[in-house]
Amino acid sequence: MTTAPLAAPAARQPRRPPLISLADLFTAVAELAPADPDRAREIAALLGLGPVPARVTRPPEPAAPPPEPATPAPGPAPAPAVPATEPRAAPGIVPSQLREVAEPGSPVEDGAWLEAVAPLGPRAPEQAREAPAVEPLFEPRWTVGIVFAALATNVAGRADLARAVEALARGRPLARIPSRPRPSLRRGAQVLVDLGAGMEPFRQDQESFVAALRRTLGAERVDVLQFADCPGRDAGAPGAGWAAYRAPRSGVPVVLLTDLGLGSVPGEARPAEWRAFLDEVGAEGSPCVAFVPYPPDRVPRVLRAAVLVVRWDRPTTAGWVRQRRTGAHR
Amino acid sequence: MTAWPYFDPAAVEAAPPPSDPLTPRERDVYVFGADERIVLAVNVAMATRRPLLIYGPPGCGKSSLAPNVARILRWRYYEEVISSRTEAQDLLWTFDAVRRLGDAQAGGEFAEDNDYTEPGVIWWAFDRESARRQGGTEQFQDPGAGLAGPAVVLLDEIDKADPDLPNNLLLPLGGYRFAHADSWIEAPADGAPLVVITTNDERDLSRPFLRRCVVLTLPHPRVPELVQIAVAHLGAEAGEGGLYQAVAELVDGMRPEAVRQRMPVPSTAEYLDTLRACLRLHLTPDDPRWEQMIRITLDKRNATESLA
Repeated sequence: MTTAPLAAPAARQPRRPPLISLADLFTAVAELAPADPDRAREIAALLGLGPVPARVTRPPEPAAPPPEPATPAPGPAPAPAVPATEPRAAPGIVPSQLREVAEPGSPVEDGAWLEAVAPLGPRAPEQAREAPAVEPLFEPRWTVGIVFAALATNVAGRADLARAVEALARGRPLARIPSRPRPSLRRGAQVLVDLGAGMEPFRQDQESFVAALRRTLGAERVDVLQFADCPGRDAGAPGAGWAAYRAPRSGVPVVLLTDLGLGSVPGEARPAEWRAFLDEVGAEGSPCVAFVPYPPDRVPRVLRAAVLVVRWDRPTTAGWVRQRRTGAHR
Repeated sequence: MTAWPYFDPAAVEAAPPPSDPLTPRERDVYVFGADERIVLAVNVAMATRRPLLIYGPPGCGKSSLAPNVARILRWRYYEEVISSRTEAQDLLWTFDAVRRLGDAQAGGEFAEDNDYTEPGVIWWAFDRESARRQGGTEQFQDPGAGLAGPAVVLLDEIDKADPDLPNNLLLPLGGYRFAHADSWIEAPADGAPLVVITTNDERDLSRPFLRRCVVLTLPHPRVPELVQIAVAHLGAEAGEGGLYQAVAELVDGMRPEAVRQRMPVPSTAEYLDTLRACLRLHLTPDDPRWEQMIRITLDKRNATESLA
């Protein structure tokens, strides 16, 4: 018999079990008595308390190819990578922009040296270098919570006994069992990535956020489309041709990674064009969330009334998103 | 050879109980001697009473590890395959509200609320007696597992669930107890279950959850491990003509291409199925048909590539 009566209400809420700590390491090492320091280090690594030891029992897995970039052509060309041969300052020395002034009349001064220099050839593949990673716009620890708060939709949960009892008590027939809605990411999302010039500074942020969405919702549940300026003009999957935009099936959230025209770049869509698009998506029954790298109060009121605008920046929290979602914009 | 205090498959296999010679079964794609890290991880999880969280690509044998452990330990075994609809509560118990409402509307006698509760896998693993008293139906998922004593529970593909499910399991899996109605359901102090959780890493798991688990990452077995697994399953004799090695090299050689094309990598089970087919067809590497089979495999690969 291992069931025990519940204690007093105050004691009913048990504490969260402790994180894995040195206590676990000591327990495991004492119980398993590792024969050598490498084995002890393996135990620590399994508990997440140390680096993975050098002992490798199998050859490593072949590396998977890098994921397709979420934002390739037809957007603007990416910034050139830093050449591998770029001189770097020694540690602790601040590189100076001052240059030595050439003597008047010297070959450097009159530009004749330009004629003598061979043009640079194409860069060899081994010289290519990844652009340095940028800090994500959302606080990484909060990203899952923010995504859940923004994109969870209500699905049928457990039977709602209170509503069922109330109906029965009033003598009403129970045509179907009422259920309590529960938030879920089950429906996934359609993600629309804005390749317009106004979003060019945020290209890496878009790519990393699409990756975060895939990790949170599940890769199979994320459908990525690209557009420039406004999806109403045309949209398409990365690497495929663009065509007239098609909304997802009803109930699947639509995520916009865009500036909603705030970038003030020629050609960007006007609020009326955006509003027409948002109304079209809304009419299909899909909730729409725009992650915008500007304060929401800069977004025209006419758009805020049609889409949940989430400030794509560090101060944003899951609680803030929940609050906005349940109140302000609806 | 290391002697392990909690889970020592080599010792059991060296001296199996007379009632069961512990011959490998269809699902047993793991041979624990092939990788001592796995045995170490199981022992660490049992020593620290922490869940064992297993990462690894599809087909590497994550899901077959738990029933194998149960069979070797002679522990009870339960499993639940997690889906996007699974809630943490389902793993503890479910309440059959529809049947209760039906009984209420029928107007006849109906039982107490408690009698409409069906214990879930975690309840069965923690406290089998109370689950039985509850009137639940025990689902043994593996005939090779034990019939008494502690349990091994497999929560398969936890990354399929919504992100809050792992967090909602922190309390039951951390303290090996949970509240139901007016009592605690808890595992005995000397019989804590081994909880094995698998993930394909399709979704990130929460940090609080990760930091309470012993984490093991399984790679795909390579040629030596595959051959070892084949010997354990099919005997050394059948592989004397180099069949095990040849098929293992074929399967292993297909992996980089499959990874490159983002296709499923041939699994260990697929390797064993291929060996069984070869044995049934009397197909060996020195058979004239062998080259043809290899060509077909390559053609299939190329066709897939041209379609991709």
